[in-house]
Amino acid sequence: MIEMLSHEFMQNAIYAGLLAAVACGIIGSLVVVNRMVFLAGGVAHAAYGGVGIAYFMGWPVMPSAVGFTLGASMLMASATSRSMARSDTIVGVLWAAGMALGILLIDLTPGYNVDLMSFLFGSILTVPRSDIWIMVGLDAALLVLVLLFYRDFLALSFDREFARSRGAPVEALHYLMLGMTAVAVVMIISVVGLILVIALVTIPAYMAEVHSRSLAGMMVVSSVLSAFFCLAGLALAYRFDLTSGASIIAAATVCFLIWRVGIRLHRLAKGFGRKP
Amino acid sequence: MVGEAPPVVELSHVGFAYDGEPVLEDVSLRMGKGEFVAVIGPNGGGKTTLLKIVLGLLTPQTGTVKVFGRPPAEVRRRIGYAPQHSEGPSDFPVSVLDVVLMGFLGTGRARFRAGRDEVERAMAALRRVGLDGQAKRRLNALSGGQQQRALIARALVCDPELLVLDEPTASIDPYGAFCFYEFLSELKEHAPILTVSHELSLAASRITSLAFVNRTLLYNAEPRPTEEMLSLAYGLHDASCPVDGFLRAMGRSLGAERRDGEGAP
Repeated sequence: MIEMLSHEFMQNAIYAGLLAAVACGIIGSLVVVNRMVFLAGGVAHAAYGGVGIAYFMGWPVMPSAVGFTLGASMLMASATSRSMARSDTIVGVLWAAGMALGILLIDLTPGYNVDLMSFLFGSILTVPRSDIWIMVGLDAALLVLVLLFYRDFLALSFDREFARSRGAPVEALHYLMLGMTAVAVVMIISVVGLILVIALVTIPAYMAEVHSRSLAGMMVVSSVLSAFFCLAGLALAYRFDLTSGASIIAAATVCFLIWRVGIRLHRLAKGFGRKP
Repeated sequence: MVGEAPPVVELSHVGFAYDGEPVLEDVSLRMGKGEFVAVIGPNGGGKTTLLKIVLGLLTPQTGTVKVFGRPPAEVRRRIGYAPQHSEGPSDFPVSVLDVVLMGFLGTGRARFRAGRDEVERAMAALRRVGLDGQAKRRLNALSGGQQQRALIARALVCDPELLVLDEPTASIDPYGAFCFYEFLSELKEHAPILTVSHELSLAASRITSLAFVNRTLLYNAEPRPTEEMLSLAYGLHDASCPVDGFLRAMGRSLGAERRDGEGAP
């Protein structure tokens, strides 16, 4: 098992997984406590439109995808900044439209046959060193922003009405939060694929929420959980020769189910204990 | 520049409409120091809109709003606000102390952790609401009444000169709600209180005056509803509806006066 660490592609995969875990822990916590999972899904899928534009125009993929997704996320932010009610419909429209645009543009691009599957599932085993450094930069930027605006994000997430009454820049923070989500999600998609991003943004954060006493604690716990799922999934993928992204998600899902059952049993046991 | 201090809250002829749909029309209200004003009225009658206008979160299309003699947006930091608790997610991972510390939002600091002085003031606010033993607990581990007290502590932490509360007893059982109004009436000595309530019978014993809002505002400088308020609230129909007699009797038993209570005093 230990010889898996000797391969450079495996080392890179582990670095990518750990770095993605930090970003997903931070973004996932904000997404989950703000009930924005659907919105994050919309942003992530709309990113494919940016990929399509890049291929069609012959532009570099990563900057185009980041720019396009940032634009889509600002549209979603403007639709959701005043009230989250009914915003799900607009998110759904952008979700579908972004993906369709990407597919159509790639259809129209002569000579190119980009694999949609690699966008969906990524290829953590072929991550180059340069992407690792991009992710280091992304993690650092996210950490700085969250440290700077931690108390504002906390108040915004907990109780927007109150934050507004104190004169906090609620609208600007809402845009910033969605912009951070968009940039982080696209950059991690390019490394590990869309499905894995959705899994790492939701599953660990949801598990961490129940056991944390602060948003910061939730971010740390969900980063650690994400990292664990990545390592466990990669080990499984290596040992049994499975697809890496799907193995990581499988590890996360199985842990999630065991955790849910554990909580249920714990509650039942407490309930029985209370009865005379 | 001598003369009396301006009233704490002064609304004159305020009108507000959402997308052309009038919610408040020609609403006037004056509120002074030491007062505890309850705003009652049907759902959708404009109670919360009225509070948001006082807080400067909404700007009325007509009329003027003054808080401490200034436009509300300029004096936000002197107002302590506790929104309806249902607006905050209940399983949010946050400690009671961190909730209270949110009250310092907008006071110009941009630090990751709260300062020592802020923590001390937050603990003092928790002592005032009787939650000092609970600071480190998760908010959702507290009872509904305790959570409400935590939100009041958050409103108190910046030593506000006016407390604005939206349905503070919505998530508390009737007995707890009664105690809660007892507790609020002690606070009104420090800061006057403007609260929205749907539980008139509970609030009545402690408030100093009552405002009934249903697009227009009826004011009574005493803690009981006028017959006019009751008729607007429940509709006094002609003839045979048996509820009417009951309502009239209720108005009398609550001491409703025949014909006062239009507009501000």
